[in-house]
Amino acid sequence: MTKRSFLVALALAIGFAVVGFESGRFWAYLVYSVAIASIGALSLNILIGYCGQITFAQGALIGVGAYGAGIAGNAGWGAASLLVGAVCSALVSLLIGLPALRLRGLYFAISTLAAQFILNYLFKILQPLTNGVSGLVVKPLMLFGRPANDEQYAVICVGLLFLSWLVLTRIIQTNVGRAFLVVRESELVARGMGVDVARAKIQAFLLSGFFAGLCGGLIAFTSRLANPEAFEIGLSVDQTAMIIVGGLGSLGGSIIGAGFVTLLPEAIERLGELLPSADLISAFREMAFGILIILFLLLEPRGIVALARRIFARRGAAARTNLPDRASYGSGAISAQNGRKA
Amino acid sequence: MKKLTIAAALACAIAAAAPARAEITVCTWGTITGPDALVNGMTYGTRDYLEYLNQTQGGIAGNKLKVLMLDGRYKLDEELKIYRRCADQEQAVVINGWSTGASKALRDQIQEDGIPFISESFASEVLDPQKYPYTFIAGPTYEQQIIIALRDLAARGGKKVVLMYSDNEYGRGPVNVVRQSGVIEKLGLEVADLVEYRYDAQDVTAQMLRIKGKNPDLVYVQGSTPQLLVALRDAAKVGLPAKLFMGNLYNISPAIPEQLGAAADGFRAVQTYAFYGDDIPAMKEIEDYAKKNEVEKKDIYFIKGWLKGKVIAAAIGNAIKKNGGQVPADLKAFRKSVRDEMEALKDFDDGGITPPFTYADHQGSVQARIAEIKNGKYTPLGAWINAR
Amino acid sequence: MTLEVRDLSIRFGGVAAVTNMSLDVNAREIVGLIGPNGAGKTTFINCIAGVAQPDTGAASWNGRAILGLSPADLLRLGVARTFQSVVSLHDLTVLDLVKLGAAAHARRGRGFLSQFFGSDKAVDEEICESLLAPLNLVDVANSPIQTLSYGQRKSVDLARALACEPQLLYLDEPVAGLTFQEGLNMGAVIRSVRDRFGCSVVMVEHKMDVVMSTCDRIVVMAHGARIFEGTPAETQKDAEVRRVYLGDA
Repeated sequence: MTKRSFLVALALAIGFAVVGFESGRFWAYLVYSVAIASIGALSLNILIGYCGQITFAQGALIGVGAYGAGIAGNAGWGAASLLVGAVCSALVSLLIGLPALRLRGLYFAISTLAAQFILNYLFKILQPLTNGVSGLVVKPLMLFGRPANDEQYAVICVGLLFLSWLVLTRIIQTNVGRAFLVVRESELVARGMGVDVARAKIQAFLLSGFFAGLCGGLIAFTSRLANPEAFEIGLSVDQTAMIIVGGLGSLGGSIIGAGFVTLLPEAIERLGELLPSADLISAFREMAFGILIILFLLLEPRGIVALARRIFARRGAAARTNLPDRASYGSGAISAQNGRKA
Repeated sequence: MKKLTIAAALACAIAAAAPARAEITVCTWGTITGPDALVNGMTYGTRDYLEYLNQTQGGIAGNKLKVLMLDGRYKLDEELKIYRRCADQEQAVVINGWSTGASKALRDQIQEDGIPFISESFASEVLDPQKYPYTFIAGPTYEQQIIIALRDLAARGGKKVVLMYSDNEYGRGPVNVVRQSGVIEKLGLEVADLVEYRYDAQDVTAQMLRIKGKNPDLVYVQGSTPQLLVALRDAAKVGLPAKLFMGNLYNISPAIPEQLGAAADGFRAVQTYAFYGDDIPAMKEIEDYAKKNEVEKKDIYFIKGWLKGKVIAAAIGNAIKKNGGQVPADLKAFRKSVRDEMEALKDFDDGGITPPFTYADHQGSVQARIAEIKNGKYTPLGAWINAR
Repeated sequence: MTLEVRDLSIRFGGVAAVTNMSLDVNAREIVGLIGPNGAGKTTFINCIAGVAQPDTGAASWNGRAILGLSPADLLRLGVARTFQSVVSLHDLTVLDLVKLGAAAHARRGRGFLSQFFGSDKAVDEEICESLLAPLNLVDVANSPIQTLSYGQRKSVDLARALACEPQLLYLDEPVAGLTFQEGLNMGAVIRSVRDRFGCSVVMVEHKMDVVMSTCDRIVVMAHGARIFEGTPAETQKDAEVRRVYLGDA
């Protein structure tokens, strides 16, 4: 992370926190919804985008964090409940990840699908803990002796998002994070390089689970209800859409994708209210995600971030050596002497 | 920078879409698209009644109504977002929400904001006039619907009842409350059996055989329409007639006679509002409205929506009257006054949708009739029965 | 400082990939392992690099048995390798990969907290000076590996292996896929690496010109067994080698 990207991120965080605090409850809600979704997307991107472990259990994992934090919060743990939720999710994530030490790719992905359904079933039947299908009503987080309001949540969530981004960005730049990327590309090569593949995977699951749990805890406190229906496979799909649209293997992209996926239905809804053909628009909203994901997978599998980089690179940014365009690189002098032999 | 551009673009889109403030805003959200959209007439009905007032009377006491109908998609986060939009951005005087979950998640917020809120839920846990003075529902709770069915059985001289319910909150909750209330014994009835089944069961033949052995006078099913379809199909298989079975308001669905044909004849359900097309004054209004507008939902749920529209309009009208014919300038005071007037509605005549009711208990009518499927059509039997 | 491999054999199903193969490598020696396609060269390297488990035989490095050890264990003993095919490693930069390689080394590997909180500046500079400069990689130190040419990626892989300061280095076809001139450059680089780092090298390679100019000693394999051993000059002269390998029938 360069100093510049740190300052830009800090400025954006402060900007969004101010927007969330000053523009009324509806905007505050949008700001913290995006911030919370972003923390979840960061967590999922660590696992899928960086470490290459495809999972469908993200929704349930967020749910574990929500219940963990909700139960701790109702027991009077206050803000520390967020940590409780995060730790619960990290441990469950580790359990979900254990098969990844044996299974790979699609086979592992299917085992996570099973985990998603099992966890969701547990939310429903562990009545004494979760209050079953009717959902756990969570006591509000107290702030300065009063229940926190939407505006305060906006500031808290943006702050936590910034911290999460900072921590993950640093971790990605240590050997722990580098090992994730090598494991993602080839476990064989990783092993040959002396990377402990099993340890890297376990670390990725713990890390990802921790932040999924933080996301869940914030959902529990802001929505005041931990409800099994909120943590079904649909949430996993939404989260996956965020990182595909934003950019696999890009932390900034996770946040952009989360904003996009969270705000798009609202934008379409408002657009529909302006236009006479409201029904058509609302039908389109249902399809929008599907179309969007297919388009991105076909045209730009690395998401908005890669798209932006390409546009950026084309606009005469060839001098930026850290982001070279593949095509322009190939035509340079180096390839003339390094041309690959068939 | 990219983040900023996107945020700015979205901000522009949303800001441009934000409409100008109308005189009196009422928000109603429901599942316009989503899993329980089958019964979303409840949302359409409210909007259409208030629009009807705009068209025929120029709104309420000369003040135009702005009615927003929004789609909560039966998603908690979506409903929470819509609530904030209605309460904050749209400055709604009354909000008509949807799910039990959202009503529970929002119940403290609603009190704090002081916004009269009508929930579409029939769950007793959102209903508590003391703790949640701003939350209202519109009709008998699930428990009360069971009690109405039991009263009907007792009146017909029946004795043995089987309670059958799905293994989720919607199934278990109300049945437990009724059993613990002692009302069954008071009515001189006897629970022949309790049958729990999986909420997504595809076959309940075994349960039906068990019920057959008990030889009950009534099988009350606390389940959704898809569950009723499975239950009635398997009942026919083992020779139990549909006549033995009764469901609640949500089992008044054309799907049951359509899919089961003659096997559904005799099935009964608790009917808490008049049917669409009944010969009642409210229906005259709807027909009048339908001359110039298209009524999209022609079912009992639309009728419930119409009823809520009437309640909202009456409360707003009375609040304006109390303020000397003027809309109170202070929104908070206006909301409070509307709440007070809503609670104060006495012997309210809703045009025959239900018997006249008093809204002090925050739920209005707790009466229902029993409707039976005759020749593929739900037909009301007998008079209104009071749950109390 | 010697590698000793004795009578190593491995079969895959019914196929004998390597049969009774023995090899000695002395300190600071570059040994070339050549042979036609399918001779079992890479399989042999995999056996002594901790990737494949031979059926019989023994191998020791400085007197320590190494068969059955994992690549990570071998790295700790100072045995590193490069890969035949260089995968594109996503967004990892040259420095990232080299630092990951260095992690296997006690002195260069840093604790997690010092990496998390500390600056990489000093480490980067040291790596540029000691590893990237000799391999002509300083200019691309911060470039993602996927943007580099094939030849550069091979050099990066070599730098990565060198980062843990190995005393024994296996090079699996370091020249394959490179142009003639690049190949000769790489040969020179390998010799200078040996001189600079003082390590022993075992290189598997097809390209005879590079092998002849780079290696001190050459071992020729065919059908999973050793058929000849000698200096480059002797190898070129040997009739049997010319028949099976150089194609002089």
